[in-house]
Amino acid sequence: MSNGNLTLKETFFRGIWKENPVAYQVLGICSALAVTVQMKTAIVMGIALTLVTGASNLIISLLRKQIPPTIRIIVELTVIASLVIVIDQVLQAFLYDISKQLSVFVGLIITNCIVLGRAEAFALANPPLPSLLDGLGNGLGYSLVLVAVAVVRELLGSGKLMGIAVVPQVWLEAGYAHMGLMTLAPGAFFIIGLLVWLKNSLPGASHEQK
Amino acid sequence: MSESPRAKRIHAVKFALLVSVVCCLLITGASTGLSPLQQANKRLDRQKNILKAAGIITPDGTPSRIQIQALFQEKIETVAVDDAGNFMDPSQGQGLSLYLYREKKILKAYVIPIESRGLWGKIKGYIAFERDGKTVAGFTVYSHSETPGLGGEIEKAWFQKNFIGKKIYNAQNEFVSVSIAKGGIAALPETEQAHSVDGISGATLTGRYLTQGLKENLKQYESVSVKLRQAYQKKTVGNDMTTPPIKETN
Amino acid sequence: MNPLRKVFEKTDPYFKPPGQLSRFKGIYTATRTFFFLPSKVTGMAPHVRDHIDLKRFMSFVILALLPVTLFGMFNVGYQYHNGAAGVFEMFYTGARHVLPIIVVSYGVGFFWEILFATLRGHEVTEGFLVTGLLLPLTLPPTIPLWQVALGISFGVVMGKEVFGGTGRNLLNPALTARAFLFFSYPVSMSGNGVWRLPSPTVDAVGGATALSVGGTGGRIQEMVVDAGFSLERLFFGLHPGSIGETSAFLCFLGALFLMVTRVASFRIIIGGIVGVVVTAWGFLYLPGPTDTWFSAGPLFHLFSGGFALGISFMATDPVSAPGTDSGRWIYGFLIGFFTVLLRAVNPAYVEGVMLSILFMNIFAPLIDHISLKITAGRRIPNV
Repeated sequence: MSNGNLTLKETFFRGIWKENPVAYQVLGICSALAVTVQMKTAIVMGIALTLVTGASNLIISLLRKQIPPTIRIIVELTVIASLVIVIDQVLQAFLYDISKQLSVFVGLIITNCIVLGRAEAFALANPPLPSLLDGLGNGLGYSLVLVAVAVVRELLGSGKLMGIAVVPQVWLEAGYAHMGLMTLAPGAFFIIGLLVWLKNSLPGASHEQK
Repeated sequence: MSESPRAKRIHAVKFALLVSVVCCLLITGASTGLSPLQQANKRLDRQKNILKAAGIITPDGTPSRIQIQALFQEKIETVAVDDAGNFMDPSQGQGLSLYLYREKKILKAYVIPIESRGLWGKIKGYIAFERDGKTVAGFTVYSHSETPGLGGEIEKAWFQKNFIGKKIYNAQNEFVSVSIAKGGIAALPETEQAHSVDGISGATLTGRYLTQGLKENLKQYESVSVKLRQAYQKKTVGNDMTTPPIKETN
Repeated sequence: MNPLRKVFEKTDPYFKPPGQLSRFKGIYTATRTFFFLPSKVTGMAPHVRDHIDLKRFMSFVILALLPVTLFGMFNVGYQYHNGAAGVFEMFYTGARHVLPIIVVSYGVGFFWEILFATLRGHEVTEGFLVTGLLLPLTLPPTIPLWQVALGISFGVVMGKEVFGGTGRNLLNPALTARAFLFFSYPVSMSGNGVWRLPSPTVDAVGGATALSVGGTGGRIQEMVVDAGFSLERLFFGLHPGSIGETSAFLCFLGALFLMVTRVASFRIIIGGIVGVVVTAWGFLYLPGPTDTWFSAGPLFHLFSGGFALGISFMATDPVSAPGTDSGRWIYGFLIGFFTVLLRAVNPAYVEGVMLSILFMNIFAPLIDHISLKITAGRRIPNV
């Protein structure tokens, strides 16, 4: 993938919408299922991943002329893993409750295909600035989907947004019940599926028409 | 490039070493530097749950860091007991941990950590007893993986508050633990009602496992409860600082 | 000539392209074929080699479901009055609660069917006539109507339309809808309070189903009988449960009718029954708890819960079942096997039938693939 005919702006926005890593490339699904029960965890996870993708893309791109091709995947993974561990430690120190809920999934950013995918496909072949933007763009694209899924799941599953109850008590008394499926992982599958459907049926967004 | 294969290999090794060293330093720095904060967080989380079980803070209260620390410091004492129910010095090895709740030096309640099997995973929480050694003062669950709406109701206040006031001894002074009934306890004989709490509709199994877990956990602390109960009957608990005979450990 | 036919003949041109109403051709054709045979005979699944069309095919299923539905209404009333009322009064009470569920299920479901048919320009398919009736039969009588509406929407849209509509779905839409409700609103779909309408004469604790008995020591068969579920009662169906599942007798009668008319595959139904009998009988000889459904034995497993309803009407859905004969035997047998397995070792999901059928729905294409491979392998190669 070359940067030859893309402006910086396009490099950044491509990951957010047109080639969104979750909705178009269908990557990073595992964590998208696990941390989207609440908006709070989804947002923190999104920020963590965006930082990791941005930083790893930047570092790999800076090193791209030095990295020996024979060990490039190992080097990429070492960089990513170190970044993830640092983020995990920071979360445990400053956002303990959220880090408890995110549990292993912060650590699992290491295995998130988006991070390694961008490093391999973009950062290795492009200068630092576009790489940074590409990383951040993809991270934000992932965050966007995560937050969208989390809004639906938290609203339907527990009647809250950001932990604040938004479903009026009157409804609950009238017989409204929260949709338990949304608090289970399969609920996220349905929402992601519907999101992809929605994205593809919007004019100009479908890749099938090409 | 015109490098020889040997030079390439040496470059690779050098590069790998460099990356490893830099990354190691980064991780070690983050881990050591942040470790005190992380430990403090874990401690705070535990303290919050103990305070909840003892009824010092309400189940849905969100007290600040400082409040929790102050309350815990002021009212809770962490002790360990040996198998015979005697308080022991923590330096003498691992005993069962126990938390004492004192209000102005008078023992109000003590808190026992609970770890039970659930339907889908472990249920962890605390149960508190009044100083008579047989009446439940509070119950909290801080970690579980039961079905929301069914077994998951164990984390809800309505379920937990039913434990308050239940006895773990029957009229003959035999240990019976607290049971989660199948359905409401109104259908049970009166003698059973004192040791049972309302079950959760549709979560018979969670209730059954938690009942078993409570029984096993409380059985371990049986000797402590017996001691406290005897002391209470002799009116020796609460009026002085003689039990337990060790210093503040926290 | 029939005056009705004249009306249709006059309106026909409007709905045929380029008529100005051709967009609504789907709805029009559905109305028309309701009265008259369509001019076109289907040539695709679910009835590849038959001359009856989809509408006749489905109407046989409806016919077989009718006794089950009517009895379901009666039983809901019977449970409410605890049997202490006139037959008509009991039926009336039941119908008053069950009919709204059926009406909502059909109404909301048709809305989605028509919406997709219009958007995609195909005809409204009759498969929904069955789905819309099957869903209510699998629900407890106390289910809130808005949940029924949501459930059927999910079943039709996510269970069928996203795959491309009738004939292309992987899963049985009615069961998809039920699974959605089961996992979304467990409080309305499980427990002891939902299987019987709240009644002044009977206390709610008595509303447990036979499958929820067990686990308290003793022998399961005696415990089930003590709880009021004798084998005859389970067989004939005067006990609390989902609206249409209680009477194993009427379900199997419907199954017989469908087998004789060859609408449903006898291989699936017989295979399922064999699966339950063999598995339940096998568990009797395995070491295990005697106080749970693990040791209930074949007959209790066969007549309790939703097995009879599921194997007769849902497992036999020709779209989501395998198309090969040997595949159907395996499919049926495994449904029976998993039903008993779930009831025996995972008491959290006392109703194993729904999950077993959905699970095997997913495997149906694989079963077909394997059995075709084997058949092809046996053939003597052309020389």
